[in-house]
Amino acid sequence: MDTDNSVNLAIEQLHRQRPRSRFVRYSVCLMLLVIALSWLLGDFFTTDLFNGRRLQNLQRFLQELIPYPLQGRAFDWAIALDWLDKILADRGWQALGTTLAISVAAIVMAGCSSLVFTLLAARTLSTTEPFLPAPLGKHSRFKQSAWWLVVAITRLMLIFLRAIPEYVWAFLLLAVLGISAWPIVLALALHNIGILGKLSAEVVENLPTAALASLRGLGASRLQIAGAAIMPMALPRLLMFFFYRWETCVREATVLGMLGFVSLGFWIQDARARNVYDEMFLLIILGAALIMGGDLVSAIVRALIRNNR
Amino acid sequence: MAANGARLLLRNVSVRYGALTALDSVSLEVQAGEAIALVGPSGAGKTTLLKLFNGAVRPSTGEVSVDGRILAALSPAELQQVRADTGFIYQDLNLIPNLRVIQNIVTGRFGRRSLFGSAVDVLLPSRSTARAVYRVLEQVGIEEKLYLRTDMLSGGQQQRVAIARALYQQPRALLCDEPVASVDPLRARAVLALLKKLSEDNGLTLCVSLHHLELAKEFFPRLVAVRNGRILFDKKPDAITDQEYTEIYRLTHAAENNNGEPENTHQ
Repeated sequence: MDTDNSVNLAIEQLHRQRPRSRFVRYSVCLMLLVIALSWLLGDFFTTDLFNGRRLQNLQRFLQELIPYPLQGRAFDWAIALDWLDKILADRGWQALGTTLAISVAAIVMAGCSSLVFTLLAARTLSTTEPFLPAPLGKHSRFKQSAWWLVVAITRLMLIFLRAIPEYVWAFLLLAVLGISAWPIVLALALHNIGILGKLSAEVVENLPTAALASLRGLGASRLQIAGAAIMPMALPRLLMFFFYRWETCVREATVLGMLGFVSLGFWIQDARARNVYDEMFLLIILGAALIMGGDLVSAIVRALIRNNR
Repeated sequence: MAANGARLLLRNVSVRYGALTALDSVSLEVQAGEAIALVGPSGAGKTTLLKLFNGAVRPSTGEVSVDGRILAALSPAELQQVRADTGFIYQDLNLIPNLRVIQNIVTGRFGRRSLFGSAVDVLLPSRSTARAVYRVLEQVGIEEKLYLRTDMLSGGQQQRVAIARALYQQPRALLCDEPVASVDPLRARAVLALLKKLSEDNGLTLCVSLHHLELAKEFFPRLVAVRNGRILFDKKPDAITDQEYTEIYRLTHAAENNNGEPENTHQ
């Protein structure tokens, strides 16, 4: 019993002495305070989300989403398919194809060129003696600074590329290149080089270094290590980012159509302008289907790479 | 293969990691073609000592030279040449897990290959490259694994791949860090016999770190005992006195006594 007590005492003392993060405690308090204040001071109670007129609006809107030939009558497959076929033939397939083409062109450009920047931005590789202790030679200071500069410039450029939204890039490029698919492709590519380059560089920096150091230790060059060790080790994760960004590209290629080039977004806006909500809804669904298809492709490719033995 | 081995030399070398002194004013000479065992308990400084010879560890003070060339004075290109001539088998093997065995092994010769040549070796190895890799795998007895993914092999097989990579490199000196720490006693003897035979056949200098003194005595004509970063003795096995023997053995025994489980020597 005595020993139990002394153990309890020791535990208590250790508990009192445990390291505690002030930041966590204060930020939790602050968060609770902000929630309470915004609840009390905000205008949640003065506006009513569900007043009568809004409900009516919602009901009418939902009615409008039903294909026009079917409104006010029993559902009929023949009529519905006829309606679907007409819209798809008119512009659906074309818009879908264009959106897909833009997104694929953009992500392939971004993916390939970001690899170069990835290697330059990875601090473990862009240094005088990657993965091993740097030599003490008389020029090594200078060389180290030069490498530091390479990393800094590359990273700054990547930040710049991704800090400007796709929409703004597209807007600027439309003014320069005129209305065609290219401004959208380039806008998506530029923004995604910034994102993919940064994310991939982090992956490369966080790879376990022992195997890479062992190659350096038998005299391999940077590019040999990058090609034979870094790429195979990082590839599954790089592909995950690649496909995720492709998915975003599909979405953005849709949205950027609203700037005037004929992708899904153009026709969505067109349908909205003509108050043809059923058609608009169909085109939105097509966009979502495209993304789901992309997700499926990405899952299959990554599973194949993982299990390729 | 290289006809003669490299001569390895340490002169008053100390290595410090912050406050920790891993090696304390160590001098050691290994003649070309000689085979030595570094013995001593975990954490004695054996790994650090081996890593000095391919420049993976830089001495805080003192001089490391290979064939009379002081490593600290070499240009990057010259250092690369020394590294291309120095094979290293790591305790953790350090293979690339998701490459095929053949791809891992061809990386061994990267120090002497152009970028284009090494890309071809990895992606589309020529018939003669494949043959050379197959011959090396035959020497370690797993030639049938040529095209398997490396992480599909067992631990012992992966270790043979690491040995094969170092052999394919055609080094003039082969440094092995605890090559038998993670294998059973039977396999340990086989691995050491293999390393010994390969170094004799090819005339290369061999340095093997072991914490098992009995195995070291059985296979090596020269034993260098390291303890607390210093060399305790450097002798032929039969010249070791009982006192020296018990002194080092007491320490190594303590390190191995966890049911034969060797202690982790990561630093």
